[in-house]
Amino acid sequence: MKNKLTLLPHGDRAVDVVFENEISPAVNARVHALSRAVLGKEHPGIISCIPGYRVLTVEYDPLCLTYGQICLFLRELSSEEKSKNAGRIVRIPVCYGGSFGPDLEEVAKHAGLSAEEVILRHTAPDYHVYMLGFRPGFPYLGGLDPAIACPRRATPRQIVEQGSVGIAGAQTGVYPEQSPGGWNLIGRTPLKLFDEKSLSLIQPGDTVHFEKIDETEFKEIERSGRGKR
Amino acid sequence: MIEILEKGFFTLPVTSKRHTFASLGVPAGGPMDSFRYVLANYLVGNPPDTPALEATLILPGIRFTDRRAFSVVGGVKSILLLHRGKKQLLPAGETLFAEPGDELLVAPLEYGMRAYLAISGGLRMETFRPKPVLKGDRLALQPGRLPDPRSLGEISLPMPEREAVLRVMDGVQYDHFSEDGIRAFYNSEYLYTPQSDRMGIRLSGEAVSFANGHDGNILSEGILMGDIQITSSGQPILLMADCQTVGGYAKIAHVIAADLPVAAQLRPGSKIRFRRVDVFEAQALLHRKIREIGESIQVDGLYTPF
Repeated sequence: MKNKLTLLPHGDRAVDVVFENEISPAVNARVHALSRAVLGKEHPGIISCIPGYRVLTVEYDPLCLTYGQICLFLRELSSEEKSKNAGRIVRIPVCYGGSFGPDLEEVAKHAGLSAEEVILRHTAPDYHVYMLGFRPGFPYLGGLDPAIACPRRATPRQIVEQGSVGIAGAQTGVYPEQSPGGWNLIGRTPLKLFDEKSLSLIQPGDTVHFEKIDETEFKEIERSGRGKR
Repeated sequence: MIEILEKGFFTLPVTSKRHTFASLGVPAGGPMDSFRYVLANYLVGNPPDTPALEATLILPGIRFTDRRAFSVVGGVKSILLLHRGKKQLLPAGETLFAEPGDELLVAPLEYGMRAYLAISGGLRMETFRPKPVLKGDRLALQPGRLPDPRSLGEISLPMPEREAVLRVMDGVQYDHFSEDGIRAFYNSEYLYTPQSDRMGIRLSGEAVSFANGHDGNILSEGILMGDIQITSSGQPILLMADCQTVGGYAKIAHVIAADLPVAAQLRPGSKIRFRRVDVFEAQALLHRKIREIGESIQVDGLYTPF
């Protein structure tokens, strides 16, 4: 498990810590473990840590730390790195189909399955959150059932509502805020994934579960303000 | 408080105080030209990371509602202040003072792409995702004392004309590119296209080809201002302050911190070449630049946040 750590200068104010070249929760867990360890030191010269699938980008202040010093710091830390996954389980209620998921039928047709079967397969897995990015609070999820993978729409929509749950290629995700987008929309969650006060509902390294709800429950969650957090 | 009378072209409240949410996908943001931003704050006696306005191409028109020091750094040699119905021509790059009711008049930048308008005390910025100002906006200020007047004097700041050589380090995916591709990148000239903004500068020129076994796509990983990605069509994008936090294009090079302000001041239509340095030279160049700036305004160890 303890493979050699590769450090690369990512320009003159960041270092990439590179792990094995694969998409796997195990490799990714090491990225998050190191990220937590680096941030835990609260070093004034360290500005940010950005986790990727298999790379941790550590941004530092070059007026405070030289390249040699940051490398030494990271090597010492990584020797005490623990790959224990400290992620939580986050349940995301989703109302599938209808006006909330206008492309559900299309995805079902592409998969040769019934809409109900697509929902079953979408709610079954434990999705690993590899990282957040693209938009604030947007999770890169791994674990989509390949049977319901579906190519991106030929023409992107001008407006995709906040909370829309979609499939594009072998990925599934949730739009944290209203934006244009080309994913196939299969449902929508009343939860707010990101706002400036409570920040991100989902953290890197978490596990996500989608749970089917109906329109009444959707409205109830929305009204109760639980969706606003 | 200040009131926006004319928004200019694109005027954004910025701070170099970094939020800690990069891992949640929140872009870093902040000033494009951190040198001039810090100096604008210096002139009004603010800490270097105090929120200020970044004006693109046009200086906005603003009205002051209280007595404040202010400064304009970048783009103009002088500004016009309407004081009790009379226009005063005042120098940029110095501490200036405004009385309640005084108006800074809207004006196009004479050179460069961006200017910084700092006000003593600084803007009160309650978001880490600022929006550009609109006509009629009233921006709250933090309390601040009036500083003793200061000047930037003979300070030498990078200000490119219509072309520039940007110094870069080889990218983290350098080995994803073919020899021909790398030669093209380092030996030809790229045009700064109009499809550019605070997220990135799209360049056009000789296509950069990928090495055998690579197509330019990588598993998404952290990206930063200064990174140069090559898109699938072989054209470079130089990522700037509002870039996303992760990306899946291979990076051929990274513009060094000392030269980012140069990139920030280029206008569309400019021509760019790249010259290679290593990490040690890059960091030495940054230290030297910061020392030069600090010495010319007699400030010891001027802090420039990155």
